[in-house]
Amino acid sequence: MATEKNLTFDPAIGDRLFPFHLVLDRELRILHATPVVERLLPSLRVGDALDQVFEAVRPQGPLANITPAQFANTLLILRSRQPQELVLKGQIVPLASRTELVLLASPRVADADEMRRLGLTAADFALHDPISETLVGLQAMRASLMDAELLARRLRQARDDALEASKAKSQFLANMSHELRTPLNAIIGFTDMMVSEIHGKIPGRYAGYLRDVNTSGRHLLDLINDLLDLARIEADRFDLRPSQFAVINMVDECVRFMTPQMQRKALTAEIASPEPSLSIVADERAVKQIVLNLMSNAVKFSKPDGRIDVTVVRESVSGLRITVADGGEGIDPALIPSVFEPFRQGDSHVTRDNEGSGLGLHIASRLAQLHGGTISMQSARGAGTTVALVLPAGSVIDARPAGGEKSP
Amino acid sequence: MQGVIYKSIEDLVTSAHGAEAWATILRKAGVDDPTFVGMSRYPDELAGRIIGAASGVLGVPAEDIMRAFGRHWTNHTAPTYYGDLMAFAGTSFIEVVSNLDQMHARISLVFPNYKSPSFRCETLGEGKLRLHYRSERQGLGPVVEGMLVGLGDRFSLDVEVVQEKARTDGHDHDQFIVTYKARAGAPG
Repeated sequence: MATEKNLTFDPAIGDRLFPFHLVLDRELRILHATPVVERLLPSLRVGDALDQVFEAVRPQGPLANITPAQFANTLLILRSRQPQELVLKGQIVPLASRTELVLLASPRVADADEMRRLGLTAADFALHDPISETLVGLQAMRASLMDAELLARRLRQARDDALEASKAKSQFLANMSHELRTPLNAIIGFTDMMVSEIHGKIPGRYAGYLRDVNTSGRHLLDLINDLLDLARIEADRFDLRPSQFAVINMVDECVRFMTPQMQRKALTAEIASPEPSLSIVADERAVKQIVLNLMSNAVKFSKPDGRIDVTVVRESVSGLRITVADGGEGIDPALIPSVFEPFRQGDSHVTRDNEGSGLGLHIASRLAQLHGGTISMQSARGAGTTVALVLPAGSVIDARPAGGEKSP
Repeated sequence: MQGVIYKSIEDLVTSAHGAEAWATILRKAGVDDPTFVGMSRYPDELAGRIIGAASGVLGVPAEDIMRAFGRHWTNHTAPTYYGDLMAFAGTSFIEVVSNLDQMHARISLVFPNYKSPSFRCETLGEGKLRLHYRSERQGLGPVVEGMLVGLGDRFSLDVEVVQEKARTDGHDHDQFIVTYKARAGAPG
């Protein structure tokens, strides 16, 4: 193939294919500029020296010192001396005539703003020029960033709205619970007095009604206390007050507290621990509330004449484990996660027979979490339920003189 | 990048009919997640479901919704998301229309999975051209009409578009006659 026949174009075609080229003589004077270059550099005139129109950013030093052979391998970066700054990058090569050179270049465009500032559009570029794809890529990136910012803004707003709503709900619950407790305490207190017949005998039927009012009042108070606890926990206002206490003593108190309910179903409770003198540092009231919750459930779901086992064990990795096991109906293992959700109880037909707010296990679980601990449940239909409270190892204190090992 | 299309339809509907109307349309179209991500891909048939649902909810013919979407896209969405590309495409109505095919071809080079439409423009004299439109998707003629009218808005031109041929009528591509003239009162 005869090389001199290659790349010889009609000038108009050459201008379209290489819209930013300049034809130069061997002294680097401009013989021809494309219409696009003329538009961008209106003061450029044929005959101007290249270094009169442009300052060489690369290579540094006078362009006249560079031979045509060196130009072919030199990346030129030329910045126009006109106020309208145009930076061309390219190379100078000799034309077939050998008497003329051509600067084949394209504008350096860092971003779309520069393209806009120069007034360049798609029509100014050769179709083979990849600059348009670069622009598409930059635009897509910008669109993605806009999208990400919008989504992040929406997420932040949704989070803020949810937090605000949760805070308002907790505040409402706390206020309402407080308002409800005050009259309830009066109802419970006065019915206590009347049932105990301090001021005289109450006729039989009314005594029964008063006991019902008293029992219902106490039940309502329990529910309200649960709601208040939950509201405090959710509003991050449940402050733990850690102290050191003997675990078995605390468990023993819980069992005593539950004794009246257990007696109604003829239940017994057994406390077992290989280390009866174990102490922990935790919020005693909160841990007691957890154990009472677990025991209350065990009592509720135990069959009459059954047994509840409370075990306290120190574990080398997980710390302290208190388990409460009953021999009741148990629940389907698939329902276990739902029993820890607020206002949920595991099994609807069991729930109907056992009153409660559905908050007990949720509150117990949240109180355990506040201590850095966990609550887990093992159960199966007809095989009873075992619930374990695990408190972190750091909360366990070495054994101290025995506190007591009891069963009622 | 189809997500931008759905965001644009959302913007069009909510600005004219409110967020509740848009939520109803999405429900009717069976869309569970109302958040569209601009650069994500969505199934092609989703657009048809949403336009159909919008037509039912708003009581507006589907073709009119597509025209309104095309115009809204050119006037609002494209300048927001692709303003630089719009500027790059040209400085006059005829220049942009002539560059439509090139611009779409370049987008398909950057996004190889993007099934870009193809355009060919024939000038028929002063203020008149014929536009040939080829796309894998059928029935989008009204969207093209709306986009051309919106492009006229950009350059203060009154644009009329008449669809000469449609794929839905058995032709191999869609074809439009476009006439445009300076809008009365617009700066010359």
